[in-house]
Order: sequence, then C-alpha cells, then structure tokens
Amino acid sequence: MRFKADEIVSVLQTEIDQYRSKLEAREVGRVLEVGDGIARIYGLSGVMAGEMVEFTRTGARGLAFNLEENSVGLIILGDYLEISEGDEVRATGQLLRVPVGDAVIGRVVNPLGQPLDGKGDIVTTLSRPVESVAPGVAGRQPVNQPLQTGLKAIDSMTPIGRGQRELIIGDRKTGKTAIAVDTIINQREENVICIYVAIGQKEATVARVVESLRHHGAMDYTIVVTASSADPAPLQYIAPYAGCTMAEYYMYEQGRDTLCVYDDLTKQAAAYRQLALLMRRPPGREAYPGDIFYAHSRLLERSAKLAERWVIVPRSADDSKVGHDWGVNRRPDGKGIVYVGPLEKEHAEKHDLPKHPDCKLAKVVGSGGSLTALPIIETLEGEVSAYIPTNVISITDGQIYLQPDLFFAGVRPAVDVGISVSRVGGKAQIPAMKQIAGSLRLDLAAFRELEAFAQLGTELDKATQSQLDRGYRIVELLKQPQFHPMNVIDQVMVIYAGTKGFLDKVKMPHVQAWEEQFLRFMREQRSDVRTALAKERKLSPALEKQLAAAITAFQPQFVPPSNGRVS
Amino acid sequence: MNQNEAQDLHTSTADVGEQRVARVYAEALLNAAEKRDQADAVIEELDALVGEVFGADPQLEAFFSSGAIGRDQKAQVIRSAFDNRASELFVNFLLVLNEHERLNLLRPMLATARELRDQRARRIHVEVRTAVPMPDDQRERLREQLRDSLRLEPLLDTRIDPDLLGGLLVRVGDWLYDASVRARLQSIRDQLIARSSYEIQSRRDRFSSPDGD
Repeated sequence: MRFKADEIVSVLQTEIDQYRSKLEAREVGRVLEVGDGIARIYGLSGVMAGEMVEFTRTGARGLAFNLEENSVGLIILGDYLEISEGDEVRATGQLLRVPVGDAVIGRVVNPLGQPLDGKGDIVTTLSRPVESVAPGVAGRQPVNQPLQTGLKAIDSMTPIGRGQRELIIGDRKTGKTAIAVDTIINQREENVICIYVAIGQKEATVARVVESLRHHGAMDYTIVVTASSADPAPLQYIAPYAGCTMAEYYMYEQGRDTLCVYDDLTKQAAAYRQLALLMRRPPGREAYPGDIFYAHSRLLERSAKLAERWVIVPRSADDSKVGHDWGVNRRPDGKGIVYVGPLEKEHAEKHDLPKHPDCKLAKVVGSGGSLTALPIIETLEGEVSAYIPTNVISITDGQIYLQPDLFFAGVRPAVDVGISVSRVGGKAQIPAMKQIAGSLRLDLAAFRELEAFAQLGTELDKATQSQLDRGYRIVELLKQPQFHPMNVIDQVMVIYAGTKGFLDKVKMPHVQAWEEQFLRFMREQRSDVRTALAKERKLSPALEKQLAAAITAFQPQFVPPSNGRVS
Repeated sequence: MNQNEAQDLHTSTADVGEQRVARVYAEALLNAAEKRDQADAVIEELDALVGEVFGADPQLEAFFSSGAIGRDQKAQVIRSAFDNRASELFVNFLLVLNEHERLNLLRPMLATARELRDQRARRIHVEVRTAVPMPDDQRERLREQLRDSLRLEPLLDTRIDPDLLGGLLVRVGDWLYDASVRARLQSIRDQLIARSSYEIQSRRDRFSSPDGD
C-alpha cells in the first residue's frame, strides 16, 4: 500500500501550527529501590494514594500504593526490569484509566487496555477510571430479569439474574471455566455484552478460550482482558477492576446488560498478597493483607442492576431519545423531575401523571443497565472453608459448587445441586421454569437420599425403585456437553418431560438421544406449542395439556440409538 | 545521574526511624549553635567532616560507626583529632553523639540540619540547570523572580547539563519546572505521534492511495 504523503504532511503541519509550548511543571521523585514489580520513591511528597505516576525515562506507569513518611511505594504496571535506581518519576495527577466502548469489543487486551491480539491500536477517546465507586442503594433495583446460562442444571436450580453475583467454585479441572464460557456463548441472542477476565492463567489456556469464543461467534460481543501468569503481579491485581470498568461503561452510559467473568479471583488474591508483602504491609491470615476482603468486596459490589429512571413527557415524545431533563414537571430550581426506581415510578403513576394530561411516563434512555458478575474461585481438595473461598462466598449472592467426583463420574457440568444456591436468581426465573424447577429440586433431593440406600443392595419396594429410576433419568437429563447451551424454552420442555415421568420408560443410556430427538420433533412438528410457550413464558393448564399431548405423541416416534449412546 | 544527585540520594535515607533520631540531634545542635550565633559555621564543620574527612578516609567513618570499638576509645580519638582544630561546640556535639552511640547517623544529621537551617533562615535550595553557563544578569533576574514567587530566599545551585540543548530547568523541592528545549521537542514529538496515529487509525482510507500496491 502506498501512502498519500501530502495528507500526512497536512496533519503534521496543522499540529505544528497549533503547537503552543507551555512551561511543563511536574512533581518528581527518584527511585530509591526497585524490584519484583514494586519501587520505592524518594520525593513525590504531594502524590495521592492511587494516583498514576510515570517513569520519565522508560514511559512505564505505576500506581502510588503506599504513602510513607519518607518515601512512596509504587506498584509498576509494565516492565520493571528496565527501571533503575535514580530514575525520575513524575506524578500525573490522574487516576489509572482504561479505554472503553465499542473499539474494545472483540479485542484481547491487557489490564491497561493495550491490545494483545495483534489487530492494531485501539482508537477511542472514551475511557473510565479503573477504580470507581459502586452504585448506592437508591441507584439500584432488585434483580428481576434472568441471565440465561443455557445450562439446564443451572438455569433450573441455581438461576442467575441480571445484576447478580454468582460464584463458581470448585477444585482444579472441574469445569469452572467451561460454565463461564458456555454462559458467554449463550448470550449471543440475549444482547448482553460479555467481559472475560483471565487472571494468572497460562497463555495457552487463554488462547484456547479466545479461540472457542471466536469459533462460536461470541467475540462479536465479548472483550477478553488478560494478565497471564507471566505478567507482573500489579497487572494481575488490577485486571478484574479493569474488566469491570469496561463493563460499567455499557451499564452506566448505554443502559445495556453486561456479564463479567473473573477467572479466577484466587490468583488475583495471590497477586495482591505478593504486592502487599513486598510493600511490607502487615500479613494476616494465610499471609494475606488485612484488606483482602475489601479488595474483593469492592470489586463485586460494582455489579448491580441499576434502577430505571422515568420522566413525565408529552405523549408525542420519541421514546428512543428520552433524556433525563425532559420532564414536563419541574423542581423549584428548574430541573426536570426524574423518578428513580420502582417505588418512585409507582408514585409518579398514581399521583403526578394524572396532573399532566396528554402526557406519559417514559424511561430515560440509558437507565436500567446491569452488570452480572461470575467470579471463579479455585479450591484445594474441596476445601471451601479456606480464607479466600469463605470471603467470596459471603460476598456473592450464591454459589455454583462443582464436584470432582461428579465430574469424573461423567456428570457434566459437575454441579452439586445439593449445596449450590442462588439467593436472588429465583425471582428472575421465567414463570414456566419456576413452575417445574420446584419439583425437580424435590425429586433430586429424594433421589439422593435413596441412592445411598440402594448402594447397600437392599430389596426395594416398587415405589422406591421407581423414584430411584426417575432420579437416575433426571441426572442423565441434566448432563450437557460443552459449547451446547440450550434455549430456556427447550430446557423447560425437557425438564417437564423428566419430572412428569415421561422418561421413566426410556432406557437410561438413551436419555440424551431421546432429548435430542424430542427437541427436533417439537421444533419441526409441534412448533405451535413451542411458540406458545416462548410467548406466554408460563405453563398455563391449557398449555401444559398441549405439551403433555405432544410428548405422548412423540413417544412412539423415538428411535433408540442402535449402539449405546448417540451424542 | 550526575555526582550531585548521587550525593543527594546518598544522604537521604528511607529509614524512618533513623530519620527521626537524626532530626532530634540536628535540632539540638542547631539550637545550641544559634545561641552562640555559630549555626552556619557548625554546619560547615559537619559538612567538612562528612564530605572531606570521610571522603578522604572512609576508614574513619567505619571507625565511628563500628559498634566493636568502645566509647572511651572513640572519645579519645575525637579529643585528640578535633580539640583545637574544630570549635568547642562541634567537639562537644561529637562527644555527646559518642555517649549515645549515634555517631553512625552523621550523614542524615547533616542533611536534616541543613534543611532545618534553611527553613529557619527562610531560605530554599533551588536547582537550576542550563545547557550553557548562565550570564550573571540572567541569574540575578531568575533569583528575583524566584524570590517573588516563592516568598523565600532562593539559594541557586546552578549546574550545566548540555543534554537540555537550550532553555532551563528549575527544581524546587519535589517540583520540576521544565522550560528546556529538550522537553519541548519531546512534547511536540509525542503530540505529533499521537495525532497522526489517531488520524491514521480513525480514517485509514484517507492516507492510502488507491493506485498503490
């Protein structure tokens, strides 16, 4: 490609014409010692905690971490090997910011927002500070919309709502990342922006995740932030905050729903511990610093379901453009009244709207976004009572617990439904799922109790045996291969079939084949029932009857696979 | 880093405990000296000891700092070396330090004493760097202006740094005022790079000609 030289010259010329030299005043200090991603600085007496500083010679950036009587402790974001004793450091007067917005979508970046995927610079003027304050009570609303993971075991029994924080916890190699990646892939139709933050992982693992996201078309709406195990601890430490910031842009400024996966916070805690110890902050339990809880709680607190804001506008107003200052009713100071959250909205509907004839209540564009967090914690030998796991369990709104035993027994995803909970997600489930999930839980609980008996080889009565059989089939039904997220309507139909006993006659190894053929049947021959269910989103008695009839009609058509299981 | 800066770094210590102790002694020394109107002289003596004597004979510093040598022995050496050669006040100061086993803190004490002396006399050290030696009238003007803006008596510490190319660089405490040609070239370079890469990335077609490649 040839360049148009005159165009380049003109750009440079205008820039030189407009150049105004101004006296550069900066506060400076000098490096006393440097190593392991931290530096101690003499000078910089006016620097603020958390302020970004710059090493004049190398251009590397750092953050003021410890302010001491005679020196300042910095964490170095970037290559610390090039920095040497005596180097000048200058204060920038700014907080650390990362680029946000559409320019970052589909990219793989480091925690400073610099591209790692070789696709060129990220060109944007949009940025947000990495550390920001979580929305307060008034700015939020309860979780009320589901975030579909596409996994039957999770969407039915530990449902996740938009704005919720659901922990994924389990030993190594139990499929934690697989759940997160499947959830991201399932957001394709859901209009959710996804951020995958990889902390302290192998570059090869991250490359594999990125490749599977790309393969399934998920990079169109996903940002991958990575600080691998080879990156210095400061980058690993700030990575989740940077990822959260990129999601917040969409939540606050565009009113979009977002999903943030932090994979995993155990490694972030270890990176923070390293920094804190090098900075000589006093070690606490397991040598973690005293504020390790705060490091995680302030991160996870930033996930939220923001309250919708409403204004009273003329009936002719364009709903897609409503701004927060459009309200026809004004406060004494002249500002338009904005109703925040469901309570104020109700007040507006009942009291204020009738006073303004020919007006309507309209949602302010860009309000009501959400940030759902899926933090991941790796346990050692199933030890959930270790320090970091208990901390994060207590911060989040529930956890999905993955068991190695289940994983190796072929139950994948290896969700232990007995101890996995979701504290708020149930409110967000679609009604149809809520209707069938209750009996599913009970069936499984009864099954687990009986399963222990059955292993003793005792003679069982018929009722017990049938309960056992039902349980085995439901467990079989909840298995799901990776990268095959399932639509929630499909989930409702198959789980309905399972809990109502339509599968009792199907041989256990055939359950998955049955499911596949049944879903195809419903799509091709009884799409009326499927469409009705998708529209109503709940199982009315009439619809339930239709669904049952459809299943009965399908039963004779089921062709058991000839040779064991067919995937 | 030039020699002066190396020395600055060397006299500054990050050890907060040492600094605190050094401050106590430095303050006491200054107070005693001011009563006799010998403040500047005493600091000069301390400076000569740390700079010239220790510089010429590093073993002496090791001897003073060593815990292996008894107080009495050190006192004897101090008396025989400094009596009649240094002021009475200074010799007493060294003996007191010896009594309290603080002779190892002479360097931070010197730095703190200088700092305190400047503070009390409302003086401030200003480092001025230029590419070529500054004419006297310019230096006077700079001094005037600094005096007006800082409201303190500036003690100019001029250094020549050809790397600056032109202009000057003034350093007051932790603040650096950079009006050098080097800094201006650097800033125009950064701006040009940022501007052109932004233009190129935001409208790639503008710079590529269709007939090329």
